[in-house]
Amino acid sequence: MWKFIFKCFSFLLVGAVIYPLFLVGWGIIMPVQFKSNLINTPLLGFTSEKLAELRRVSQPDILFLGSSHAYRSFDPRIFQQSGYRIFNLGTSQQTAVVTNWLVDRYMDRIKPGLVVYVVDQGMLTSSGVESAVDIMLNDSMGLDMLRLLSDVNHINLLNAGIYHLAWDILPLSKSHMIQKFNNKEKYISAGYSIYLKDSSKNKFVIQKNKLALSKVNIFKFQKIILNLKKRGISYILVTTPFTKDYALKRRSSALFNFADYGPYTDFNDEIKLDDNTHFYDAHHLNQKGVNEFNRYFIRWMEDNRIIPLKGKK
Amino acid sequence: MLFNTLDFAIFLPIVFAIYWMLSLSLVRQNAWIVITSLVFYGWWDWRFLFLLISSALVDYLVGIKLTSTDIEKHRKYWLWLSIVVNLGLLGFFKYQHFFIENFVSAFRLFGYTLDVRPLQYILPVGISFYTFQTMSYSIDVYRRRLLPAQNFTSFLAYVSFFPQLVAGPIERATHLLPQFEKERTFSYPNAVQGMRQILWGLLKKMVIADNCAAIADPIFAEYANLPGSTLLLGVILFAVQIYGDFSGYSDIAIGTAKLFGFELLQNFAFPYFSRDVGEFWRRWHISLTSWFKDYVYIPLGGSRVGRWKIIRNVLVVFLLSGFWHGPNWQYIVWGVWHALLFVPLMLLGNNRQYLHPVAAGKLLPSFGEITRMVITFSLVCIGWVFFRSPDITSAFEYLRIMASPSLFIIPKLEQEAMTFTLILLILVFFSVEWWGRESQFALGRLEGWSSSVGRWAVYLILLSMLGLFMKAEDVPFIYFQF
Repeated sequence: MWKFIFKCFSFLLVGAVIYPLFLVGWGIIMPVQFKSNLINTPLLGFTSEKLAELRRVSQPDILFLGSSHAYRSFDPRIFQQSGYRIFNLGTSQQTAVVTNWLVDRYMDRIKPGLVVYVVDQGMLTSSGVESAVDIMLNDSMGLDMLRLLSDVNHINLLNAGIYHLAWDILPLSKSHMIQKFNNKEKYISAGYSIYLKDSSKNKFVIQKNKLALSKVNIFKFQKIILNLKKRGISYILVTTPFTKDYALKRRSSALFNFADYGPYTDFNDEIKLDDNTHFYDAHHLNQKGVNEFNRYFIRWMEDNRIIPLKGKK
Repeated sequence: MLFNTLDFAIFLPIVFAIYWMLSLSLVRQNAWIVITSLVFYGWWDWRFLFLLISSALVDYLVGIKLTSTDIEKHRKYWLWLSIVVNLGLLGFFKYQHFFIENFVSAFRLFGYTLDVRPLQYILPVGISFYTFQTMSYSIDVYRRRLLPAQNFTSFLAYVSFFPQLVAGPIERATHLLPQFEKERTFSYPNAVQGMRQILWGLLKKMVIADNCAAIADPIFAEYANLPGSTLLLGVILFAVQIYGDFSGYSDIAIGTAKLFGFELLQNFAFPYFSRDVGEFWRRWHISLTSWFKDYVYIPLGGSRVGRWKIIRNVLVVFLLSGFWHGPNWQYIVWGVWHALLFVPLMLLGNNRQYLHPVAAGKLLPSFGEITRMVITFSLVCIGWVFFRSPDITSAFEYLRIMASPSLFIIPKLEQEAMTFTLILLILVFFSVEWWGRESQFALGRLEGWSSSVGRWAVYLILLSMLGLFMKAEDVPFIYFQF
């Protein structure tokens, strides 16, 4: 039996060396169709550009966190017109696990005046693997990435980490990791991405998502709230507008009460937008919708004294 | 706890290490198996442990009572108690909804509305497997093929043995129980074979089955809007998915058992290389089909009766087999379909004409063998449409569209690159299965390789394939729902 145990350990050691080499070789040689667990076709949202810009940002008036509902719904140019400097740290399919990691990594350095956490059930039900891989590939490598790896605990994330580390060490081009331009969206600034079209092909199609709440995500969400309070950072929780059908479906399958964790506003109850004019798809605004929503949002924040009034330009 | 999770990867080495440290005491080893198996099962839902232990206790006591009397009437009474309790549990938890809904529908046909509502509860995982396993014990003790278990610990270990508890293979008491009642010694070659089988099982499930599911599921969900060629692809991928999923689980179960010095029954023997449906049923879910053969078919008379009774016996077995899979009419239709394919072979005496692996000792099959394999696979796939569809109407509609002229247009695919990659993976997978078809499992053939460097290279490549192609989202094992 000792021979068996010894052989198993030896194999694990050899595997720990060979596997990363194999992975990197595979990443260099194979076309992108065979690398779904390595770099998975880049998620939307320009995470690389966003995080690179974040390193130059300090003390924005408002920092937005959350999924694509965050980074597609708040246009920094509109806020700038009202005198507010914002940054959008939303990323595609960002779950509470990933948000918690971003808060731990950036909050002490950035010190925002207010955090607007865009919340929705999806961030508590998804595994967050793709979102975590997005961060692992596009953010700078550090020891805290090991915590992200242990929190999400998936082989794809390990692969992404090995791949990114190898690309940092080897003199290879990272152009395939950087999403400068694609035919669906454009990066503006301060973390905001704009859809190039006003509406998608399957505008009103509502995808079925699994609805089981993840204990890990709930735990991390609670930790985010505690961390913000501990750091003395003001925050609000919001849900951005959706089309009527989507909002109804979401409400009928609600499993979690965000209002238990702080000031929460569902803007589906506050603002009436037109499904045909203001939405790109069932749960994302187009630029017309963003314009309308952001103007309303700024007025709402000022009226409710959530943020100090700034001189308007 | 699932086999393909980090939890199990931590659980297994700990259980393994302590198990072999206890090797000087058989009682302690069996007790350790019981404890760890109950932890394994309770990981899903601890509430159903009571059910498992109760079912085992009933059959253990029945076993004692069966040997404490020679009065045939009393012995039959005890046997029926075991059957009623086990089938009663199965009927209550698994089939209650089916019977109540069909009962209500039948009354509605005559214009009566009944207000009968089935109870809402979760189906206990593995109930279809362990109830059959404990029934086999009672029946074999009744038939005097087996002495009753020496003590409750060894019996409970036999019932709850974690590698095969939730999705088989359905073990026979005559095969597995004696292994709990004698000393086990660690065997290096067996342990290595076990690890190989676990690796191959993980690959089948996490690379092949899960990736097939990602493409087949949307096809079955949107079949009404897709051309026949896409539906054909969908059913082929489902056929590969269910094989990869179920045989993968069996491989992991059998391989894990080998680590502990146990031999479990082979459950799959390369069924898609079958040359007719008779051979297919000797190679697919072997533990279930042999259970029905020994405990239903043969007691009904088997093949030693007249033609019509043979047909009846075959129909009963396939109907029960379909019904075992689930309380839905489409599983029953699936069973009937296979009965219709099997009966002609039976009546012509051709159901056992292919007893050896196809092209045994040769590199490639003949054209005739390929033709027979393709025809058999096609017939089996027709059955899978019923198995996979949500209801019978959808299944017939699926088949109708598949057989329409749209079968000859280019398939409409949402994920073309992924489908292309998957087809390549499937071709490589079946090539390896073909290469290893004369062994108990494909990778088993590596045992004959003298070069350890060569063997380790294969393992590392397969592990890398796991890392590169496993799905991000967990896909449950199909047979857990049964």
